[in-house]
Amino acid sequence: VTGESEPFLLVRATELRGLPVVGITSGEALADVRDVVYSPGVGRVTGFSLNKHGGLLAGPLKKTLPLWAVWAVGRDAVMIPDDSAIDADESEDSNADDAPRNVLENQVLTDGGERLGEIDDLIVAAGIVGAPGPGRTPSPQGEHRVGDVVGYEVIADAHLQGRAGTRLLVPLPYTLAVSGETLMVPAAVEPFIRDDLAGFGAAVEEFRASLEGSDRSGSA
Amino acid sequence: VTSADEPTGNPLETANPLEAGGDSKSQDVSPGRELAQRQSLAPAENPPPAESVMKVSLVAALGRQVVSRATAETLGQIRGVVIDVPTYSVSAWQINKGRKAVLVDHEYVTGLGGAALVVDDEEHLRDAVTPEEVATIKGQLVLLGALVLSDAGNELGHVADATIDPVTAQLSSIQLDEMSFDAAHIRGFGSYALVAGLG
Repeated sequence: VTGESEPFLLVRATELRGLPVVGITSGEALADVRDVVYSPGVGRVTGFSLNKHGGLLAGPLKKTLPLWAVWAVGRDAVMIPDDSAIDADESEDSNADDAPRNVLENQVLTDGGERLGEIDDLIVAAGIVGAPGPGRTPSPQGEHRVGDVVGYEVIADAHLQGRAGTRLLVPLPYTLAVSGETLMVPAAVEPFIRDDLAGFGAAVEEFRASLEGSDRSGSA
Repeated sequence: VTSADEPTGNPLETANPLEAGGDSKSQDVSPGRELAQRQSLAPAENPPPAESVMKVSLVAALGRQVVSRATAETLGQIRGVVIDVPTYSVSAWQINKGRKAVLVDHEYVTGLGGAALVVDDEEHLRDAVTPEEVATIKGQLVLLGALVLSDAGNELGHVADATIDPVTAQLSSIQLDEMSFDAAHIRGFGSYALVAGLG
């Protein structure tokens, strides 16, 4: 988890596994997060698969908790407004126009044709989502929303700053091309790659600002 | 016995609810969203401000004798409290009466002083009825030591003490190991955690 100087709270998706899902008005732990549900086409976590509360031995729940039913994603718990939100229907999310899938071990390529590495984790913006509801209006581009996947943690190839085998953090643009096995990022990302979550939020913002700047200069 | 400030109405209108430290890592909240959050999280019921009186420490109150005003008999000792979340107040006192735990509603308390909790009559001692009362008696819903989460999903600590208005039974403040907050920020209290609307 990043420090206080970060512009927003960032967590690894794997760190969300096992967090309790807590009802704000009840104070009860209603389930545990089994994993995040990620839709790479929209660049967002769209929900959470669940286990019964009490650890791995408690067993999985069949349903998925949609992000729109969540009040906040924190360091220590996923908060829902009340206990009924745990039964929210994930099919009601009109923003989920891209099928979720597992991207771990997918390769990350630059549009310059270089292979950066394989995805080992997702970096997710966390914090207060806000009042729940299906089809929650997305924030304008430039404003991070809770659930946005702002970067990948990759196991680096030899090309990536000569640090083969190490874990590095690759910022993501607002939109990126995805196929079954490959996620494409701009070659301009390389100066913004980091090896520590502290400072990565700023790198993401700088990278995205640089892309917007290049778009403007290109269209002038 | 300790003193504490009065509750301040809508807890989410307080600019800085934390008296020390706090949940500073999740501040990416736009004014519009924050307003929506405040409206959404506003307590359903805000009791009127209590009169200014000396507040009682829950830790100090535990173990005090419970005495009947009608007979002057000692009925037991204070064991715990049942919390009414919407009014952030003590709805009933848990009393050890021999080996049995019973409750007395605060409305039958005539005084809470440095020596004793005085109830009007022993006949108002009763068994637990609601799920919250049963959980309290069973030790599943205990304020002292409870995990405290902010509504942003961040752990704030564990409850070390609470101050109570002895007249209204309203909780004034919740003390954690390294900080405290106005009890009006309590949003929920269950067997897993006490949730505070500080997000």
